[in-house]
Amino acid sequence: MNENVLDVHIERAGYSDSKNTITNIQFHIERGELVGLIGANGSGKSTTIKAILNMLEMDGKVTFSSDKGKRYAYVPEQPSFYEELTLWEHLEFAATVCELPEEWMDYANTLLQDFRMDHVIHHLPTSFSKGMQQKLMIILAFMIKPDVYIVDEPFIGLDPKSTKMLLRYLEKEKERGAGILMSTHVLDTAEKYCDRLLLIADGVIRVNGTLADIQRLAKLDSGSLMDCFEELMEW
Amino acid sequence: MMSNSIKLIFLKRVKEHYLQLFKLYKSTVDWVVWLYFIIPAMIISVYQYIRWWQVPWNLDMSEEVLTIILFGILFLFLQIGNVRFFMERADQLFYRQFEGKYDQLMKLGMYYSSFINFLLTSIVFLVLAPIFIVQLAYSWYIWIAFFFFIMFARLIVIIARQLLQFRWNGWKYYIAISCFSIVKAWVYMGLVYSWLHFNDPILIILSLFLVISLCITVVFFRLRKNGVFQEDIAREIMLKYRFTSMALQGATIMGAQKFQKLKPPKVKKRSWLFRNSETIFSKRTVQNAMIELHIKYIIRSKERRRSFFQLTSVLLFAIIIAPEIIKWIIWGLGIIIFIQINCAYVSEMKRSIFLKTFDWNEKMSIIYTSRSVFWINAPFLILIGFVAGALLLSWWGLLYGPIFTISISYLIQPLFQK
Repeated sequence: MNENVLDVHIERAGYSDSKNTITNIQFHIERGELVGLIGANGSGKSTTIKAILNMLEMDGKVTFSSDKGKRYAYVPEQPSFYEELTLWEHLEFAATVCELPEEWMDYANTLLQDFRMDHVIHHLPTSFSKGMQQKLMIILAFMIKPDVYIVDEPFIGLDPKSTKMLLRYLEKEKERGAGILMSTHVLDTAEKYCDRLLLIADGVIRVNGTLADIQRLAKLDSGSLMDCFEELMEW
Repeated sequence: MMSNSIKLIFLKRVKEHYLQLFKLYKSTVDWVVWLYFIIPAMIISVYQYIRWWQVPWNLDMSEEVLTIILFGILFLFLQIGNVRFFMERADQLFYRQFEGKYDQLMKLGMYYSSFINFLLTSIVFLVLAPIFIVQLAYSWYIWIAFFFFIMFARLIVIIARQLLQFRWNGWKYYIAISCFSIVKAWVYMGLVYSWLHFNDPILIILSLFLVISLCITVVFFRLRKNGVFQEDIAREIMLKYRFTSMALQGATIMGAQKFQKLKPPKVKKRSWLFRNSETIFSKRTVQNAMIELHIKYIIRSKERRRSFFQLTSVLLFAIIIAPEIIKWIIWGLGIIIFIQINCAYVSEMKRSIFLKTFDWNEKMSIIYTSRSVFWINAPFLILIGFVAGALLLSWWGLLYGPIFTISISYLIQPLFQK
């Protein structure tokens, strides 16, 4: 039996005004599973992620079944960093706080080279472009090697080579046994890489299943995820 | 000829700016402030001002010192100010494409800024006039000549500073602005001295003619300057929200959310301090990482660093000049203010999403940051304790002053830690 690395039972969560609330969101992520969170703008994807990360008021329960200290890594939609710390200092801080073993530096250097950020390690992230800031977030997440990744719109601002590299690392982490929740609008990538999809609309999960399940529901047997999405959104 | 639509857009933006200022004023100043501070202060000031014109104040200082103070204030006034063009980010979608319309917007901004400059200079000169006319007994016409000189020179300084910012960045800009400041100070001193000493109308008219010609030249260059839209927008947004930002910065000390800064078009890539990401502690523990984050958060930020140095300078100055009983009060208040400000910075630092994504034990986090607050405050408090101790407790205060200060700071800090 597959082990769940993340169990989500949200009865209600959202901001104080009732517009952006999500209700009855229930799903789980197994080890080595990549789950795509898709939906239209304002459907509740980011709210769901923030509720999971305990950044919002929430009724319900979220369970991470992993070691304390490196339960999850979060790649936010808007890169978040300290203006006063260099790229390397962010990595150093994360490694210390997560008590990573000594070898973290070798792995960090590999990530920096793969994402072509090794020439700016002592630079302040405020001088980076949006894509480079996004890469800093991605490197930080992969460096920790957590059991769960929560990734919000990771492809925005990334160049094609870095997008490819990100997908390669996600695959690698899946093989290691990490569970991944990825919110995205890039449906062709989601179709190709996600093992399961959560379609969210108006704050509730409409579909939780594989591409085949979605095709069946949309009555488009060989339709692409984009076609199915369009069809289901018209309901 | 200027298009009416541009004029209307410009006027609408100016109106919105003043409405925003009015809203801010309404939210920060209530009737209590009016009743107990503003109205009494206004009545006393107006009465004293009218009396000043009738009877000179009995100031215990020589004419030379008073002249230096007066022209020192005017020199400081010369340094401050800005030109507003009221352009907005969305202008790049439309107006930026039509050079003519964009130029009109710039021209209107220049007219507006010149008018505001005229108003502000008039107020300053009216307030300071009794010193020049009554106390120092100089003639009206030199004061009016100084008025025109300061008004035009102020525009030159503001615009020249912007042109230097467009041309250079980082240390090169600091060198350029330092050279400019030295030249500016020498020209100012030379002009003030020659006008007051020789009192020659031809010299005054000739210097005014030169200043006005130079002003027209820099205004022309500024309006013709291309390729600086991003810099202009960054400055406009900063100016648009500067009063709100000031109010929010004040609120930040009380623990409110930090005002989001706009990314400037030119940003420094590396820091001068710990240039190669050096660590402060060789032993890597969570506590050390947190203290290190806090230290770098403070010392690498120009604003935060400046706030500590400014606070230290003000407190030291106040301790030196105040009467004995007030020295004790300032000493005590200084300790509280340092703890309060540093704890506010810690709260701001902890609000970062980056930090929130780590699995923190809140109790331990408070212990770590309380240590970093103490160590960051220590050098400043030791200096304050050293000076206050020496002044209040004679020679042995040099030793016990710093010890008392940091001990009291250590003991009362938990009361302010959130």
